[in-house]
Amino acid sequence: MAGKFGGGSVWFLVDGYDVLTAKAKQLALKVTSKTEATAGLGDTWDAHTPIGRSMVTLTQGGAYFDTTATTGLHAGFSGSVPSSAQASTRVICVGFGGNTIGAPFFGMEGAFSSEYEVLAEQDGLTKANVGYSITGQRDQGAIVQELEAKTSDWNTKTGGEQLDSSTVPQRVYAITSNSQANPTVVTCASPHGLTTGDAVLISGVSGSSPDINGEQTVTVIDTTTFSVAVNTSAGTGGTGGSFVKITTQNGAVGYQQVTAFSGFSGFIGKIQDSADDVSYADLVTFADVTSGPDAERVEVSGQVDRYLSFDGNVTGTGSITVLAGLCRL
Amino acid sequence: MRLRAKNGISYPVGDALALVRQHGGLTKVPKGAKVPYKRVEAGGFCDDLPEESIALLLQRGDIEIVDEAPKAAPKTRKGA
Repeated sequence: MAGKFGGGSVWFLVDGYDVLTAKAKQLALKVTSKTEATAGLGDTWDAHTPIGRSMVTLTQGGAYFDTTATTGLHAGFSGSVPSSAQASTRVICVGFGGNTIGAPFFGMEGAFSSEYEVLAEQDGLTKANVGYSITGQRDQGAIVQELEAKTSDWNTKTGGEQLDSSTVPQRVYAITSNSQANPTVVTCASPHGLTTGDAVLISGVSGSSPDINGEQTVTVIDTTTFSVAVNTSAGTGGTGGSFVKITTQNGAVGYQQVTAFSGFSGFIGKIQDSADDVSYADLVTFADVTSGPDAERVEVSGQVDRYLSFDGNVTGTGSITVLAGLCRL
Repeated sequence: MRLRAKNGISYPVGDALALVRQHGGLTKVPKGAKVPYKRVEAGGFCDDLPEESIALLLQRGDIEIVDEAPKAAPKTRKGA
């Protein structure tokens, strides 16, 4: 059944460590809107007003406290609670919808493992819990390279696994109508969040002549309306429908997690994009990896096209296990 | 005139390009069909880019047109 996932679809990588190898029992990712109490004298009910800032918290509980596993929880996090103002952040990626190309995932701009708790219980194995303080935003995107082992250069294009952003699980924006005009003006049921130059894939609009369904580049008018280069002045406006974003102008964030690395002297991963689904150009280039576990977050600006792929280039002989994803901003 | 990559690019040529065109794009090629892609690093020439991609890549700044016509030979004085 689409849209429903169980524990088997969860994956959780921190700085290249696959935390689930330590058999974590629980993972909670929460976004909270910070508010200020705004009730005053004479009010009989509480009042809270958002201040425009959100906070992300991430907790992971019940993993086994294994001091021998080199890729487990304890190897990565023992002694990791930062005690210095100069402490560096961790790169976290987590997904609840499976580890496949196109599946959604969340990345964190910066995270500190602020709590590391070891629990010893009678009649039970010793377990470890970790709490993370997230600094900055939570990025939301799609996997472009699923976590798997490779032994030579590869790219997801040759393997037929490039990604069409229109198929990525994302918010679907409802359209109320489009006008009889040149160019036609599309009115949305809620703020569309678009930037002029973005491309959208419209579907389900009925009655518009000419038809506006399909890929369209938008010109923003205000927060709930935009125009597309279709002349309906001699025809009719339409009603209903929806759109998803497929090309955006505000840059993106690429994430790469390397959970295993042996033999190679180097590895460079790149995320590419394409507007025509024929030729692809480098969009995100990650730093040369020479050992694992490893993780990196790279932010890029400008236009991000509809079609995405991943290139992996190794030096020497060996094996590498890597995951990569892209989040549009 | 020649085309030179300003950014790393990848594109199909020959039979691979014919297959991509036949299906209207790489994502529409049936899974299981191997479609080799040629890679050109920034600074390399890419004169065999698919025609349909040239305008888009020029607009994005991923490639540039360069004049690589051979320079005229320098004049020399005879009998010197």
